[in-house]
Amino acid sequence: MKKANQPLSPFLPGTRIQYAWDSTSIGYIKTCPRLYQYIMLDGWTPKEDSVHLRFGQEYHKALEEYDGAKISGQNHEESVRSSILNLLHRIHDWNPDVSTRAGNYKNPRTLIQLVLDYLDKYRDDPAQTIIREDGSAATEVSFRFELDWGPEAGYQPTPIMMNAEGLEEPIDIRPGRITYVDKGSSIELKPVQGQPYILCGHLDRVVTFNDQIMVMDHKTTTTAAGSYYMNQWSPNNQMSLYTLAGQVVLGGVIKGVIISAAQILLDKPNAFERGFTFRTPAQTEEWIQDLRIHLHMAEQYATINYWPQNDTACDKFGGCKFRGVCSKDPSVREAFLKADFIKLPEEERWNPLKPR
Amino acid sequence: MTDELNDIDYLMTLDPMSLSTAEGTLGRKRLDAIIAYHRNQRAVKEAGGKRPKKDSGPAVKIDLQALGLKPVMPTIKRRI
Repeated sequence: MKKANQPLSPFLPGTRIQYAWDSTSIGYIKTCPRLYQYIMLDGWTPKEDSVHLRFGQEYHKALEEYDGAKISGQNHEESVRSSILNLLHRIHDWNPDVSTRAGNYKNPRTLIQLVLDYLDKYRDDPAQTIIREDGSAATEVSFRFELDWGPEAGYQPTPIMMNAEGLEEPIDIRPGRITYVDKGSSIELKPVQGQPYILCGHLDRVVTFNDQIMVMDHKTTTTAAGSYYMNQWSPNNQMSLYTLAGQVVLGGVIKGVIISAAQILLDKPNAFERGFTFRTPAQTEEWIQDLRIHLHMAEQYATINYWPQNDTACDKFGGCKFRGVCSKDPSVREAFLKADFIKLPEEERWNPLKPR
Repeated sequence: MTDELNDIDYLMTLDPMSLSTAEGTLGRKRLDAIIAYHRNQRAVKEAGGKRPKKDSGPAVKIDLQALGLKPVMPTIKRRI
């Protein structure tokens, strides 16, 4: 029996076929099926705390709380105090190893500095957070919507149906399939049962900017957020999904995403840049079409219970964290996983359906 | 003399529950000191100053006594 508040599994019952996807898990399966297997299915995570993940989460939360305080009527200084105070509460016991490069750039002091610098820099932000009908700020906007197709295994044939000759025939009701032939004429059946794919996630902030409604996504980086940095967001899986999600949630008025990048600097003031990435309707449609193929492949991998390596992706993004495992002989990989990673229990694994 | 890096570390490792935001409380002063410290750090960097090294003396002095505090435990050393 499920505990109260326990999120649903993103997998079809009794299978490893994922039906609920967010940009992170889509990114894994697109990047490398084996990476997807290690993280999403087997729950492997590095033993050391992810400094980057914690820093990013706390940064997002602090900005979100500032927005909430401002919209509740507090002025800038009070909102800053409220945000920093709550941040101090959350990071009180956070003590990353500052002798590493990651910890040197991402620790409690650099975090507070970055949050404060951002809030002061955008004190009179030209991008205004949208206020929802209930009066709350449109920050951390969760979305969840169904696609009009699902994993094939999620659609079960109806048991029996009489055909024109009065003989019993099974009917396959998978979506888009012409499954029942009656004296040469086709009848297209729509699914009456089954699990469609679900896309879900969270938008950092929805804003109005220059009379347009845009999604804003906060990023932190230790590299310069110039044109090279901004070019990475188009094409980009996460930003295409966020554009689509914004359109679904807000009724088609979103044209793209503002990337609000914060560069962490140690000897100079932190730097902030904003860039834009737009998607035309045809680009969004193309992304969905491609996603259909990727999700179909993901189901195939689950069906044959094998997730192949994409060995052209191992050096991306500073090097895959599983490179040291995949580079070993298959017979010893499990031992290397156990040495350097922790296998999370199912309830702690990445789950797109887990609420924040 | 306690250098300022250790002072701010000390201030940040205090029980956050003590950092009340109620007007006029000592806790609020401590919170404001943390915010002021980081704003000063930004100003120093904007003026072209480098991050102070641990042994280079304070760039921004925090008066712990004025905040009703004095370190009661060894200060935490961080290499920033």
